[in-house]
Amino acid sequence: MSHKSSSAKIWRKFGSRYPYPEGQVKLITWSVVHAAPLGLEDQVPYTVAIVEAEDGERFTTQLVDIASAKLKYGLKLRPTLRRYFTDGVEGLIHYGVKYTI
Amino acid sequence: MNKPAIKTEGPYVSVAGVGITKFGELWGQDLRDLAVAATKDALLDSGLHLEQIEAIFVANMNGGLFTGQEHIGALVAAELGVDLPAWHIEAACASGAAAVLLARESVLSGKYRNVLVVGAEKMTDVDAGLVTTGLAAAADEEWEAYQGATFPALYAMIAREYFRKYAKDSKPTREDLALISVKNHRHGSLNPKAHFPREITVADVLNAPMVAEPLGLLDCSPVSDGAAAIILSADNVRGASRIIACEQAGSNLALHNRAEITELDATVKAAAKAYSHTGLTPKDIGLVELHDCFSIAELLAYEDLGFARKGYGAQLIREGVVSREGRLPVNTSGGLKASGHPVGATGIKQIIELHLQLTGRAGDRQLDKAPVYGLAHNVGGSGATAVVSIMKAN
Repeated sequence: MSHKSSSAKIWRKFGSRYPYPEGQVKLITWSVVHAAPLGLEDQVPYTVAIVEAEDGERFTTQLVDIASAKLKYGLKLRPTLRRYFTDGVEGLIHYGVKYTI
Repeated sequence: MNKPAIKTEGPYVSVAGVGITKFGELWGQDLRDLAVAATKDALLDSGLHLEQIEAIFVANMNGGLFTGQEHIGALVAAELGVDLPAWHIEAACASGAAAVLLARESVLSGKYRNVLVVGAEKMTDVDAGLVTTGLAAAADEEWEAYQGATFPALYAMIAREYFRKYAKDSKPTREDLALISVKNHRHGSLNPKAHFPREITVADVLNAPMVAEPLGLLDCSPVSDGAAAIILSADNVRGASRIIACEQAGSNLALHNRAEITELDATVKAAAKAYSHTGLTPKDIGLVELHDCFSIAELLAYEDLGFARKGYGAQLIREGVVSREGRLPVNTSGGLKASGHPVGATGIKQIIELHLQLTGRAGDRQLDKAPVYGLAHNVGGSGATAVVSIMKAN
């Protein structure tokens, strides 16, 4: 993650990455990650998931503030703005949408 | 319906010679040492001189990130002391088979008579976080890796969905996945070039530390150094083998964009092309080297390659069909799991294992009855690239 070396790269993605999505999504599948990539070492274990929006579109996201025992196929989830990671090479704090119950 | 005619007598592309290094943590060797060592062994095995080689295809995924070296085609040519055309071919973990495909086509075209294909990866000089990041770059960096999806996490999500979707069919469990790792380690224990040539138990797999739930450490192929090389020739080399089909297909880079999470459709499509090209069916195949980057990947491949119905792949491992004593031995090398996964070398190592088994030269792990047709299956990413090759003895 720390190899994202350009603030222009972050700015360029603003339009597609940061609009706050409307509505609930459905949980399809997930994994609790214990072996982290660069930049997420301090967040393990964290949960990544594939979720499905009401229009059927699927995407990959993180889940927060849910006990893993509560996770099940079809669980309804709502978006929440969270910190992704901090202090990459470009010195920026990355924010984005994660999902919770 | 009549069975299509088997068309395996077409233009020859022989595997004229093979060479492979030990796979593992090879602290004494760097990327160039490994590539050169495998190449020298392949040349010696082929009986050809370096002067008879006309082009070089080099498979490598992450040289730039893991070793700082780019321009890897030129690197290998320079280390060998030749001024031949040389290319670096990258298709993530399918780099090896993609290089074989292009090299084979270059021979079929008539442009070259003898070419070198060498795959190498040096992975253990950098820390685990960088390796995890580098491998995750084979997925969709923007929409998967950025969200924290690691490679094990993607296959873990496939496994969880597979368990749910087929709970009423073969009732697959983590124990079934463990049996796959146990089988591959048993096979690998006979392979002196394997990274981990030793047996493990189901309990070892189930009790191993979690990497990405529900996959533990022993559901995952290791991070390895190593290289593998073959010489492809337009000649009908006696006592050698030949590649009668080598076909590639693609799919969405991101797992979430695929119609089915529990199927690698690129594998299905590449296999269909390879079967169609040769007139063979899955029933004709007697030996398989498939892409078990994770235990769940091997289970999916049983189905996607046509050896089991969707949802019933677990029966093959439970009934021993895919063990070396079974009807369809899978991963006699030990697979990626036990043999190791130096990424660029893996697809070429698969071809070498088929070559050795088909020509009766596999040593301690030689199957009692050498099969007629072998199939190799090499996957890039979580299934955005798949290459399927079929081989037979000359």
